Amino acid sequence: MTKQASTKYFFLLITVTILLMAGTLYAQHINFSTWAGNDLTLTKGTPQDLNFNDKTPMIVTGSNQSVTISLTDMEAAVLTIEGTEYLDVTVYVDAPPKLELDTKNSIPVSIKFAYSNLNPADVGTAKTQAVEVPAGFNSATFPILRRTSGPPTTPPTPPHDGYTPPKKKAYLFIYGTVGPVGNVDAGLYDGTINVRVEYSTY
Amino acid sequence: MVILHKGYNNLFGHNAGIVIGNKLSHRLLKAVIRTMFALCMLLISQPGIHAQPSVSIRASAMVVDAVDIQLIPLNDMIIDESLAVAGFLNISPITDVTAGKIMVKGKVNAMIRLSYLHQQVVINTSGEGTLVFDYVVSGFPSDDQKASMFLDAPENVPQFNKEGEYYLWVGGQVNISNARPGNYEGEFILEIEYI
Repeated sequence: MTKQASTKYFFLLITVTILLMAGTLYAQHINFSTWAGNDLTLTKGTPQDLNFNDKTPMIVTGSNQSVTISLTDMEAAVLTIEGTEYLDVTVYVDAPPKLELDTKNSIPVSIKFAYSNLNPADVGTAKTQAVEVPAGFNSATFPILRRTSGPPTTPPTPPHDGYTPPKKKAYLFIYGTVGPVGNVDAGLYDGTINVRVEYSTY
Repeated sequence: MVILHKGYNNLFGHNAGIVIGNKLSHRLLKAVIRTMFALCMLLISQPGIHAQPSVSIRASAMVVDAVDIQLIPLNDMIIDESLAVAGFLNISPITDVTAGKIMVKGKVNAMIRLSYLHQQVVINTSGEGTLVFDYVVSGFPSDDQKASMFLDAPENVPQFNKEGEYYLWVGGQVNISNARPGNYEGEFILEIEYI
């Protein structure tokens, strides 16, 4: 066999090998995705948003008024996280420092959040068990399902064909304070709080 | 290298690896590794594989200019001395049609705090005699006296309705034991503030 023919065969071999290997890698990533990405959901509850007028309908300009929606208030926004019960998740809450009407008019806002991960029966129960994240922190890591007591149990069964690990719900509550309301123009002041959740990696 | 060459021999059934030689195959192997690494990176960075759930929450506050509150008397309180018992006349603000009625106008849906002077002495403008009023007031967001609640009830949080109205009914106990015939005039002092 000539050197040229051998080189041709060799390139053919390399091409086939790369194609085979690429296919294998892709399949592995699909499996990984199913395990650690797609089964984690974050959905809005009720109320969906944080409307300070729901707590105090009358917020007056120049009043130096502050309105606080506390964790225990029914006006606190609710989010539901659903995922594999024995895994940790990290929640990121990106909140603006002020609510704005336009570039010239704004009101300071301080957003806080809390999580509840004791497999609560409903939102009301979740609120009573919630853990408040101290002001100034914009992320928190916690297990989807927190043990209340006792030593750790045996390691969980990893996911495999025909077996999906049990899932549970944890709750997030978003609340905070707007104000003091200075000498600003009347109107609708708003801002967007972005909340993201992911399985924690160590 | 040896393993790679053996693999080629097994696959093609001849000694292709030996013909190519170590120098060329070493270069190609590096190219293969680079290509595989690039493919791995490409696959890892594919969108969706590491998609993280996220939502956006809207925080909002409607801020308004200060709004005046208006008090509009609709019915006067009617005192019928024939109904008095042992010098006292009781007028229920919830059930008696003789109770006074006042409409309060203010900001739509705004919550308010109401307080009033519970006892007031009313003077006879045409001579001697006094009436002592111990006021009792009930309120409701619509013109429905029987549904109204006492303002002093802790569960009652007055709030203007969608038209910016709130209704009050004024009754109480009137001591007429010192009253003399004549016209009586007095005040009912009510304080309202937004909360």
